[in-house]
Amino acid sequence: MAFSLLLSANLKDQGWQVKIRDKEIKEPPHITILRKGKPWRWDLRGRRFMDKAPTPSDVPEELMAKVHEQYGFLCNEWDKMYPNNPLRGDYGAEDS
Amino acid sequence: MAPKIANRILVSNDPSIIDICSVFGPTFASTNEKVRDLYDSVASNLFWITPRQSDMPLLGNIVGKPKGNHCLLLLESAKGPFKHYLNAKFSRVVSPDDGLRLLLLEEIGEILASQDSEDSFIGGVVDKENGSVILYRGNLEPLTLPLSWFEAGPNSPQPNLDDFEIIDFGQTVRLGEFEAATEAILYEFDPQFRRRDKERRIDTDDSFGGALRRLRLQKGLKQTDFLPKLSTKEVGRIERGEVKTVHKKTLETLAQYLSVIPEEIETY
Repeated sequence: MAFSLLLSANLKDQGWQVKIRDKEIKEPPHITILRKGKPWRWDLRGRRFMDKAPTPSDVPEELMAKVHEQYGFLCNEWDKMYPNNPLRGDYGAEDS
Repeated sequence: MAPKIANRILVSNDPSIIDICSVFGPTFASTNEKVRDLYDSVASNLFWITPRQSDMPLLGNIVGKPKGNHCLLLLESAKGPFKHYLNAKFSRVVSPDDGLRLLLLEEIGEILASQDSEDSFIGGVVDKENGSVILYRGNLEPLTLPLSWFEAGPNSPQPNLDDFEIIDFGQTVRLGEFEAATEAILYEFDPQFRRRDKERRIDTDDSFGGALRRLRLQKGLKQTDFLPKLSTKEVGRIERGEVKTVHKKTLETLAQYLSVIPEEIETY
C-alpha cells in the first residue's frame, strides 16, 4: 500500500501530500511532495530537493519541518517498500 | 515523439465551465460559427475540449476535413451516430466510453495550465483481455503499457484491475490499494520524458555507468544477475566509470538482461 505521511489539517486542506507509491523511479530513494498535479521530489539520501522545477521554495516550511522530523520513519518506509534499493548501500552492488 | 498541442479550444457556452477552464487560457468557441471558423482556419495541432453533452451540438456543423491535427476531449459520452461523426472530423476523440475513466474538469484544467501537461495522465482504461493499460496524457497522446508492469513489490498490495483510477491530479495511477507514480511509468516507457527528467534534476550522474546503474535498479536487478555472461566485477567497473569504452558485445549483453535495446541504456 502506498505510504502517505500524516500532515496537519492546515496542509491537507491546502492539498499537500507526501507519498511513497508502490511503483516509483527507484534511484535515488525519494519521497514525492504533491499538490495539484505538481510533484516535488526530495532525495532521502542527500536530504535535498532533486529537481530545479517545480520551485522548491514553493513548499511550505511547515511541511518541510514535518519531513525532517519524520526523516527516519520515511527512510524505513522506503526501505520496506524497496528492499532492493535501500538508502544505506546499494543492495545490487556487491563489488563496490 | 508526441506532437505538442499548442492551442486549446473550449467548446461551451456555460459560464461556470468557462470560469473553470479559464485557468488554462483556452480560445472560447461558444457558437457554431466560431467552431466552424476555428476548424477551417487553423492548420496546426488543436486540442478541443467539450465538457458537457449539452454543448456537443456546437460541434455539429463542421464541414470538410481538418487542416491540422485536431484532437477532441469529451468529458461526457457522445450518443449514437454523433460519435461516428466526431470520429470522422477529429484525428483523435477521447471520451468516457467503454470503461475509460477521466479526471474531473477542475483537475484537467490544472494539468492543461501546466507547462508539462504531457507529463500527467488525464484518464485511462484497463484492457484485461489484451493485458494492457491505456493511459491518456495531458496532450491526449495515448500510452499503452502491459499489465505485468504493475507487478507488486514484496510489501505492496496486489493491483486490483477492477478498481482503476487516475488520482493526485494525474500524478498517480491507482489499481485498488496499489499506486504507481506517473513519472515512474513515463520514465520506463518514454525516452523523451527521461531526457526531460535528466534536465530537470539539480544533480545527476550523466555518465553511461550512472545510467546503467539507474536502469539496473529500476529493473530490480543485482550486479550478480548478469552472470554467467558478465561478471559482477565487470558490471561494477562499468557502473563506476572505470571502463572507458564498453564493447559492443558487452553492451548487447547488458541490454539483453535489462530487456532494452543497447542504445536505450544511456537514456536512463
